[in-house]
Amino acid sequence: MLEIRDLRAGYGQSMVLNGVNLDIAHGTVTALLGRNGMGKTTLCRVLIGLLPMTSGTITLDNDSISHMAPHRLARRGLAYVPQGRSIFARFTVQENLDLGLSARGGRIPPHIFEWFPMLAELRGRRAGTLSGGEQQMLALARALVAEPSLLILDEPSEGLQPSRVTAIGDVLLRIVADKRVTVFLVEQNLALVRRVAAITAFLVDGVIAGGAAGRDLSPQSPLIQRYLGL
Amino acid sequence: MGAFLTWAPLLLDALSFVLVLALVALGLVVIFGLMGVINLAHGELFMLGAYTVVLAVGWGVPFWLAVVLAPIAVGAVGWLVEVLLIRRLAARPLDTILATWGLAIVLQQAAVLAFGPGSRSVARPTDATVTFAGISYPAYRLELMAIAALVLVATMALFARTRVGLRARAAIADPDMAAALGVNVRRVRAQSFVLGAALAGLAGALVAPIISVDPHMGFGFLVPAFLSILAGGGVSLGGVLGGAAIIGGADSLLGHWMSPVVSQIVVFLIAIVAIRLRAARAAGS
Repeated sequence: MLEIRDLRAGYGQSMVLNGVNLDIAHGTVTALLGRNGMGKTTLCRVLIGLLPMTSGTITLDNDSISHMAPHRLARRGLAYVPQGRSIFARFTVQENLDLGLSARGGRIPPHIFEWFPMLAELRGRRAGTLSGGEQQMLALARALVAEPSLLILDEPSEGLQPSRVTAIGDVLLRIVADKRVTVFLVEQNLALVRRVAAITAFLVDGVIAGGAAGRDLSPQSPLIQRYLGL
Repeated sequence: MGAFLTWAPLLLDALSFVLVLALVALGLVVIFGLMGVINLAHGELFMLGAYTVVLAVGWGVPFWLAVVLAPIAVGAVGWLVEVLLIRRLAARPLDTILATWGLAIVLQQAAVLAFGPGSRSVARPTDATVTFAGISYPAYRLELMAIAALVLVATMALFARTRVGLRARAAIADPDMAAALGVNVRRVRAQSFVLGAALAGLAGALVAPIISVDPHMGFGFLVPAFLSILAGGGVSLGGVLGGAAIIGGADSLLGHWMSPVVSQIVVFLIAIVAIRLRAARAAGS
């Protein structure tokens, strides 16, 4: 269980997160929705240690991980797929996957190529030459190579065609079912959230303004109307 | 045949200078590429490598053991510099330039105080010559070239073929993402400074028997090393060799026909042309 309590963070004097409280249950997909500029990416960056928090606490399975360096968090079992993917474009697919092993060493687990069969054929290709969908799959596979306990995804469906978004949803459902991975999914794609998330929280002006069961959400629901203005 | 006998030793001299220059430049590139630090004290680390050999041989240490000790000693100095100075100036590139410039002055003056302002020398491990194709050439210079070439290839292989190198390249390309994947970026940067310092120390150790060792010797290698990097296209490891070949080759060969001042002016002109051509090609692509 990941517990976030009264988390405040920002950039210089500008505060973005103003007291976030959120529980992310083990072995589930918890989604976070919110308009642009509400602090979703900032929250992801704080969770993975790339942005220092001003105050508050983060605990993972009752151990404090507040203020932990990113590489230590990765070794603690956190994995991150940032918005825009951040694959290493000049490296090969194989090298990108090998980097995913930095946190724990060893070899690439064989199930990675069962989940992402197209990557097995693309191992020698430069990652920058892949399509957007293939790059997103690579970023997801690179994160899963480390066999994390908590996977943080920041808008994985951004800019992808619907078939690729469906494939991402398939992978998320599978890693939760097969590996009991906990997933924290920041998304704008309501259909994907409804399909995979057990719980959905809404971030408004840097605080959690409400929550609902993922499957209960529809474009017409009052929560969506209020917090996303769809 | 006469032309070959004249040219071959000159070309071999130029090649040995190019390889030593490439070692110095490679150390600079490793430090700049991974840390964004322009290390103006790099020439003094080269100088410390040379003095390490002079001192060690003076204490009775065999020459080749002294050559092994020099990069270790200078690498240790590099580690201290990284911990005490560079790490504290992270993300402040202008400050690191000033700090390493100041460090260069401190190391030079420390060498003057410790060893005097004059030059020292160390005997070559062998005075033997190797004769091939009608020319005789000092065996030590051939050994120097072989070692320098081997270390250059090994360093490039370290970055291109190993997991350590992969993590280092990732830390250069996107330090945040590398850290999020489990790479200890700060440690990688510290290791890169140690490696860069050790390469400078090794280069200084190797040339100690063939040039005079004095507190100001580093500057004579620092400037062409920077020019080699610029002419070779920035931080590419492969480009270092090309840049060193252009700058070191011209510097070494022109010195045989021109006065030192004129040859240095020509080398600068060649560097400017190479940099302009590279910039034009980059803009075109």
